[in-house]
This record gives sequence, C-alpha cells and structure tokens, in this order.
Amino acid sequence: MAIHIKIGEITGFNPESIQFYFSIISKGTIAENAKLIMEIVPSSAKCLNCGKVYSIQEKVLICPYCGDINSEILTGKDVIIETLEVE
Amino acid sequence: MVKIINVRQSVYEENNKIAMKNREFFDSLNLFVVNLMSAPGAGKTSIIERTIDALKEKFKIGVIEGDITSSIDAEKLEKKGIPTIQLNTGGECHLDANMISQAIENFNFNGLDLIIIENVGNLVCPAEFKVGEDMKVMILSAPEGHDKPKKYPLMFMESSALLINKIDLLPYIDTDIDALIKNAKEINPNIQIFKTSAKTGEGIKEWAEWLKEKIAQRKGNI
Repeated sequence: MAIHIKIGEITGFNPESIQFYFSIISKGTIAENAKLIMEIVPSSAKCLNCGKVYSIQEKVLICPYCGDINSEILTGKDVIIETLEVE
Repeated sequence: MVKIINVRQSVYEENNKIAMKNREFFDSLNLFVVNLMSAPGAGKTSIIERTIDALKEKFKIGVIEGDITSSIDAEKLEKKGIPTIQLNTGGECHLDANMISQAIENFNFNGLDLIIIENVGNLVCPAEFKVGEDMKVMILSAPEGHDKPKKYPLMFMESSALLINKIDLLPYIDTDIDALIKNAKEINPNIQIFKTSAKTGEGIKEWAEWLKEKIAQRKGNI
C-alpha cells in the first residue's frame, strides 16, 4: 500500500516530518506500514504581462523575460494527496 | 491486485472551504477584514491601537485576537472600548478558518466596518492559512533584521502590505532598511511598504490613509 503526496516547494510541509508523524498516527490503522511517496513540486509563476511561465528562483517574483512585477503563482503552494495504492 | 484510487485533494481544501464561508459572511455585513501577521513582539497590538485611533472617526472597528494562551491583548483593547474577541488556539501557532468561524458565531459584528484579525505571533504558519480575509498585512520590526524576507518568503509573498515597525530604533541597530525594502520587493514586487513606529506614531497616518482607500475601494465594489 502506498500514498502519493505532492508537496509544494514554498509550503511549510517537510517530507521528513510528514513521514515521522505518519508512522506514529498510522499505527494500528489500516494505513500502518503504508509507504509514503512524496514528490516536491517546484514553484513556478506566470507573468501577467508577457504570459511566459518561469520558475521562481530564490523566491523572486520578477519576470526574467520582460521584468514585469505582476505574476501569478502557478505551482508550489499546495500540498495534494494524489493517489492511494491499495490491494 | 493493486488498485489505484485517485484522491487529488489538497490538504488545505477543508480550510479553504470554511474560509470561503467566512468570506461570504463578512461580505453579507459589508465588513472589511485584515489578517495581521508578524513575529512575536513586532508590535501587532500597538499598531492595532494606533490604527484604530487613526481611523475611529471614519470606521467602527472590531478586533479578533489570536493568541496561544492568555487574554492580555484583548483586555488591553477592551479597556479602550474596542469590541474584541479573544481566540486562544491552545498551542496552535496560527489561526485557521475554523477558528475564525467560531469567532463569527460568538461575536456581534453588527454596525462594524472593519475587522482586524491579530494572528498568532509567528512568521511561518499564519501565511499558509486563509481565514476569509480581504487582505493579509504583515509587520516586521526593524530590529528583526533585513534578511527576514529571504528567510520567511511566503509571508512576504502573501502580504499586501508590510509595516516596518519600530523605526525609532534604527539609529541604534544594524538593520539596513534599504536592503530590507529591496529584499521584500524582490519577493513581492507589489507589496506596499510603510515605515512606522507605534511608539512615536511616525508613519501611522500614511498606513491608515492607504488602508482607508483599500476599504473604500472594496466597499464600492460590493
């Protein structure tokens, strides 16, 4: 059994901590011994001026293509439980 | 046989749903809500007192006080005749939408125009949880140092305004305020920055004027 989790890079979630607490709270439940497969989702943003998508280097929200300061964060800010693998 | 079950659910989903309900409630009363965040001791309560003094002729203001424990801040504000509700998180390091929905049930918002939510003192977790606010505002006190935007980027990213407080201390400390502003603007180029001192009152007028404008814009939209 496995649980796939996607963790945004700019959230406060930390895979080691999730693993640590999961192993404690899952004890005695059907989820005990389930494997946690965690993937870090890199942060990216879309420039609202030129429309290009760029990765947020050093958390700087300035478009590297046109220098515009208005961007929308696309990825990296969410934590999503994607799928469960069960037998 | 291995079966794959698609969940695709954000861990923030429940919180966001409740935040949206809170938002609808605040909208129904035409209330503007500010979620105020900072590290412990940066001056949230003092800034709230100053802000209320600056805006009390124009708006009726209430405060939701979030603290891990104690009601020191709420008592301080109530003494000034400010409608205040104290939320004790009992250990949690931030307010979430559910706690605000409890405040909604136990507080009389009638006649109020502006609610300031004083979040738990913490530069990390409060930035991750929507509570149904119109905007997030953060305070960084000057002695905390100019490197903080780089160390706690999410809060700077999420905030519409940054109050750099305790600027009366600048002559005595090594904080480089220009570097601080530059670091904050890199992370959030649209962040509105005010240099304030809750002690001397410096910069409060500018901040209060800006907030007044934001409230007017918002109320015009409803």
